[in-house]
Amino acid sequence: MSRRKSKTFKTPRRPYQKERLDHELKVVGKYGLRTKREVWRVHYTLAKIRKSARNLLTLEENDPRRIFEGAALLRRLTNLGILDEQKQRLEYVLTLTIDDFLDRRLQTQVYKSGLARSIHHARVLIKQRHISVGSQLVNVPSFMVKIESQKHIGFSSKSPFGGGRPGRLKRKLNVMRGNKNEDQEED
Amino acid sequence: MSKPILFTHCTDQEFNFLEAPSFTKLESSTYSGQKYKFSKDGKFVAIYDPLNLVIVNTQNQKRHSTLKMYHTPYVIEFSPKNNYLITFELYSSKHKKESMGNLAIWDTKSGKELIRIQSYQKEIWPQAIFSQDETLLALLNQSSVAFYNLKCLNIGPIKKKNQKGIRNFDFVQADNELLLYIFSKGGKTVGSTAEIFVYPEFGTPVFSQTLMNSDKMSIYWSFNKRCALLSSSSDIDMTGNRYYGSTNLYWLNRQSNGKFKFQNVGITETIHSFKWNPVKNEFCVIYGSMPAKKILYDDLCEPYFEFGGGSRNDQSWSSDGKFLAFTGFGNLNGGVDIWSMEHYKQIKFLDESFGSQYGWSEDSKFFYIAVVREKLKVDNGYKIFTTFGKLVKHKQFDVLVDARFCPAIKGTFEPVEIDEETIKTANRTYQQEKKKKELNKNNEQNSNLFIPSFKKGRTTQQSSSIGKKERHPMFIKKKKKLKVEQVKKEKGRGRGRGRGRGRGRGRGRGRGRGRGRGRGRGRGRGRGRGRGRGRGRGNGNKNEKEIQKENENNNQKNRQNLNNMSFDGMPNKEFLSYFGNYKQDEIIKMQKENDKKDPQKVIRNLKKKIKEINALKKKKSNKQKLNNAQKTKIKQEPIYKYEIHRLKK
Repeated sequence: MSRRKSKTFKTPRRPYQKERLDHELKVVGKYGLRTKREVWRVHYTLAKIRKSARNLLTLEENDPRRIFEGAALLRRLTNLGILDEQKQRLEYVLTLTIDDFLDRRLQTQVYKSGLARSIHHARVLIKQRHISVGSQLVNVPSFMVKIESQKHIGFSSKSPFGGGRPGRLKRKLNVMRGNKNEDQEED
Repeated sequence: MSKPILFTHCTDQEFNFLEAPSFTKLESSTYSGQKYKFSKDGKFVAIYDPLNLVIVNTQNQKRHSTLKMYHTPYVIEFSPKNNYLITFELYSSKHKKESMGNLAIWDTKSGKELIRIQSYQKEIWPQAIFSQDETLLALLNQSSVAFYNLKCLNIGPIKKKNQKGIRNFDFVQADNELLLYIFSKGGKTVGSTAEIFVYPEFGTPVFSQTLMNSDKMSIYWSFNKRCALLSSSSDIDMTGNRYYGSTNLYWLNRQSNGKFKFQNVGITETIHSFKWNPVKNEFCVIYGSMPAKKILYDDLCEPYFEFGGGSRNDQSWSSDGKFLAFTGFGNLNGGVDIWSMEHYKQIKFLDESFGSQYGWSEDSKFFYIAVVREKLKVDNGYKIFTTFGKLVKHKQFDVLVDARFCPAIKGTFEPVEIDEETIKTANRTYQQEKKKKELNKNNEQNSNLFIPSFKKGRTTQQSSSIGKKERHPMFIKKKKKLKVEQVKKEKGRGRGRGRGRGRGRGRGRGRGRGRGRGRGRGRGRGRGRGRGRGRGRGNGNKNEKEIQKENENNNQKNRQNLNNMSFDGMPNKEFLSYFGNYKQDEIIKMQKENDKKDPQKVIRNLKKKIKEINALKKKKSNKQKLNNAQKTKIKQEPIYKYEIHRLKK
């Protein structure tokens, strides 16, 4: 079975531009990202969406392809929470920014729903398998949260924060304390 | 047998009862006092005179008993059956000297003090809660909640629930069980937990949740205690968006298990207020920046109704759940909207600009607004309105400490029945008044200005340009568009404002991402405002007017259709209406034939056709030439896609 592969990011054309470097660093800090690649990845997805929207806008208003694909594009974006419900037109698609996409990552949603102390803490919690969306455990900080599943983000039932058994270190300490008490009683 | 409705107000020196509907003072019912508090029934009032707490029966307006106090109480509370009373005083040096406690519990009949306990925290109230039967008392310590039997308080606690760092607790009766809610704040790494237990079994919580970012979580129960709202607030907002910290709302629902289901309501903006309907399991939230959104959530925590209207920051429900009043006092301009919740229509708008206390009477016939000394030192007084907005009573004082209606248990008053017609007429009058106001506003603004005669006949929109210079129409130049018309007539090529992407060659000032900045070498990919010599789609040989008309018609239709359509629910008619008549017939034929056959086979055939079309598309992108037949095939792609979509349902 061959797996379909394609590139998901694109490096910038000029490597050293002060404005761009500052802007990217701010984004990385605000959303708790790991590398610049994660920023470029979002740039690329935005570019593809804008391209298709631009193409559709060149067609006539009556064109069935424009209607069909335009409606599908808008539906996808509103389901992800990127586009407002009141802005259901192709022109609004061209006004989207990167922040709209980055706000919908699981990492920011965990932080904003109060489950984590900070954005970096949120990334740690996700990677250490404490967080589930509904009943599905999600390990990936760049999971795009849909509007319907936004309410069901919480600690998974098997994690120590969500009602499961305590973690490996805690269990070990409890055993050690148990042994200590026995020793003291014997003495 | 309907009870009389009482309204009470208290100035610096006096305390008075008033009786509805005339709101006149009842004789022989004045007491001297500075503060007061009602019991939950509404049967008794505790009035505080320096060092004396007088308990008064509201039905007779006669004295029931007096209690001797040592210090001024900060909080006064009755027990549910009015046999006991709690007072909490702020801990001061007097308490230290006499080594006395803050919190005291009294017996109301005899006036004796039963217990005095020391408790330090004033930010954390409640610290003592009675159960509904009045058999149990729950008291907060620094690290535990202790339960006492009320008849033998001196023995000590019957049961204890230990938890480090308890900040909040609540003790409530739901159907047949007693529920205890505890919020304890842990350290940074552990997080703070909120838990709910059923009374005697403190080992297994019925609900528990840890949150990392909350300094305080308080619980608000619905009327039958099967649903609850948790509001968790943090003092510091790390993102720096808000000065006062952030709050989050969570929704709890009790299932047949006995356990609670937890769900985030999903509001990210500032929450101004939220309250339960006192009769149903629904709640209303006001959130966002002004003008704020007011949305009703139902049983399953899904929004189902949005109120319109101006900027308001608080709400108050009437006790039978039939009326909702939105108020905009505090740092807002003012104004009260009254909505009827049976028919979801606005009845009235009250133009009040000051108010610090407001509420409904217990039979939901009256609504009062009062300005109180604590908040404002000027304009103290109260106003009482009916539900349809008539002023019934208005009185002003130098100093007003408190004013409110006497509360009552549900079911004492018969529900108010109002016809649908009266509400509709009220709605109409409200809308008429609204329109009048807008017109009056503009007239008032322009009354001082000199309006030349040629402008007087215009509507509000046109005459709202006050800052602009007013010129006689003779002196306003008309823009000439002769050039374009000439070109179109001659050449008929339509320079058209096409969005021709055209390879605006370099001159394209486009802020093109390209290297084209300034000199624009090469492909200045500029989204150029560039004079891209694009393939503008002109409309040669037509006049401007005809073009405009066509565009308007098309745009209107398309906008309506676009707004109504959704991909999943696109009905056949709208899809067909975009084709001309000659194509519609063909499509309908095809659809009928496809219905008769096996749908899966049809889908397979269509998918094959789509594959062919995709191959043709590749040829097109490689710039190979295509026949006319092949071009028409490509145009049929959306029809096939729609068929598949239709058959899959």
